[in-house]
Amino acid sequence: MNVPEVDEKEVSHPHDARPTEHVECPSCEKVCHEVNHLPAPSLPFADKRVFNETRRMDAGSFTVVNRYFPGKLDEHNIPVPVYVKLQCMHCQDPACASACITGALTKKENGAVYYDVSLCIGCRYCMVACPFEVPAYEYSEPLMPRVRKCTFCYERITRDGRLPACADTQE
Amino acid sequence: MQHRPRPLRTRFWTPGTIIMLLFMAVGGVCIVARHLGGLAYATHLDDAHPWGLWIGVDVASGVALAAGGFTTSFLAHILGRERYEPVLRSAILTAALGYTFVAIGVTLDIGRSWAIWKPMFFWNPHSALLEVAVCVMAYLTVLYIEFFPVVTERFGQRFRILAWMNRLIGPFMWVFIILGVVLSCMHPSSLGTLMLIAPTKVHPLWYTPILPLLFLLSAFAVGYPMVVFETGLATKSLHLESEMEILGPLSRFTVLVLGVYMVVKIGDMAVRGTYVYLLNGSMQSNSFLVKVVFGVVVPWFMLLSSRVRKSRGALFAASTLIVLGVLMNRINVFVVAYEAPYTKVHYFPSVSEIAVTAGLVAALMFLCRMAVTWLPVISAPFASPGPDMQNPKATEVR
Repeated sequence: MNVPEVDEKEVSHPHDARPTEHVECPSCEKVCHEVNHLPAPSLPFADKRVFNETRRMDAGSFTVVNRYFPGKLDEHNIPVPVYVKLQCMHCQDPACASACITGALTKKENGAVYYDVSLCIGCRYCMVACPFEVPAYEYSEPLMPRVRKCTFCYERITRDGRLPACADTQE
Repeated sequence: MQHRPRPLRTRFWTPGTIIMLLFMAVGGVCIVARHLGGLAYATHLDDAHPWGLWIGVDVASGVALAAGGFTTSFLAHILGRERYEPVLRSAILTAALGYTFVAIGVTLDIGRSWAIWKPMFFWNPHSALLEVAVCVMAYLTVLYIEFFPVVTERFGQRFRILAWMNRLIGPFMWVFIILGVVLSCMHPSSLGTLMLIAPTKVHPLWYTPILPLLFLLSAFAVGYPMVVFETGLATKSLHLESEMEILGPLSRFTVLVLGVYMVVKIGDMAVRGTYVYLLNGSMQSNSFLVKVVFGVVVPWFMLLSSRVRKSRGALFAASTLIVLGVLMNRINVFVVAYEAPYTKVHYFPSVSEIAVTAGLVAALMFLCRMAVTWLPVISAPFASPGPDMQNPKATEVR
């Protein structure tokens, strides 16, 4: 499959978010929700109780941050947490784009795996194909459900020349 | 003696047809619910399980079970074995109705039912699903064309346009027959190709690079058992003479094709070393075992015996096992074997999903019944009550 050449240095990759540099602040989730007009979650963003269980993306959240304790202890013998941000990884050779019957999912030149809802029929083969269980679906929507996943802030990047919202907000 | 196909004109409204109508009504209500409340309301599908009963049964199994059409067409028309002609029309009818309901099943399952037309014009050539869609659409058209002469035979006098269209198509029917057989080799294998894209999610007992071949072979293998099964049902419910003089010899081919499938399936397991999973007691392993043992091995050994092939009851039993086996295989590959890598919630179809599937099957049977009642599909004469019918073996097998 023809994958457009991507200049690694020029493009910000949200999936590069390095776990060890994460702190307890999921403001990336908050900004993502704002920019994409996603519904407010059940627990407020600043509420640390969200870390008590590992979460996955769903139709209402494109990215989540989970906390893990791999076993490392600090100088006070307290387990050191590691935070990992999950979202669509905009694969170089996306399985979803290969699978999509009408070509609604495509790999753009700036690296984004872009979802064009006008071509989508809702067959959900992309969800079967993705090995990372990323695409979520609006099953509650009767007539116009959409596949939901990180968009790489495609319009924000191409139209406004800005960084993806989550990358623009790190402390 | 070859009988001519004719409309049976038996009483249409029987307890059976009324029950089918009830199932259709319940299914219809659930279909409306699906469109009013969304898939979340009507199904147990979720992000971890995007495909469920409707894909596993309505789509994947529906395609396989309509295989009687092309396999019989191949035998009767392409190999020229005219003795099988009497069962050809009902085989084509079942295939045409079966594929119609596959199309309806797909339309209901996709999130945007109204967008079903898009794959006709927007193509991603890398997608195996595109091949399935285009091939099924093409084959459905071919099936309608192949069945068209039956409709014209009945209504051509009254509606001249039908007779005219029939005369146009007539000289080219051989093209459609060949096309039908060729197309039927393409979409079963494409259905098998679908799950190749998810190696990390499909259980090793089923995930094999030759999955497309296995699907194709099982579609071939289920063709004649499906003819036996549907003919058996029709014979029983419509009080016809059994067509054992055709079905018996037809089943010899099943021995060959099912045998090849069995060897390839078990051989694949041996070559890839996945037999280690067979006896671990998990639901998936047990499902695999049940399917292979009762859906393939047992009926194959049954069909080896010519006594079974000549016995109406035993042949029906063996054929039913094969049909159920293929049904189970499709459900296994698309639903049972599929496990989302991160989310450990299990999927089981909702009542609505089951009701819609049952309603679609009932509608298929209902329409079939309508067709054989008012169109010249079935050739078998009515069984006359008397000593002959008590002895099903009275019909000599040539």
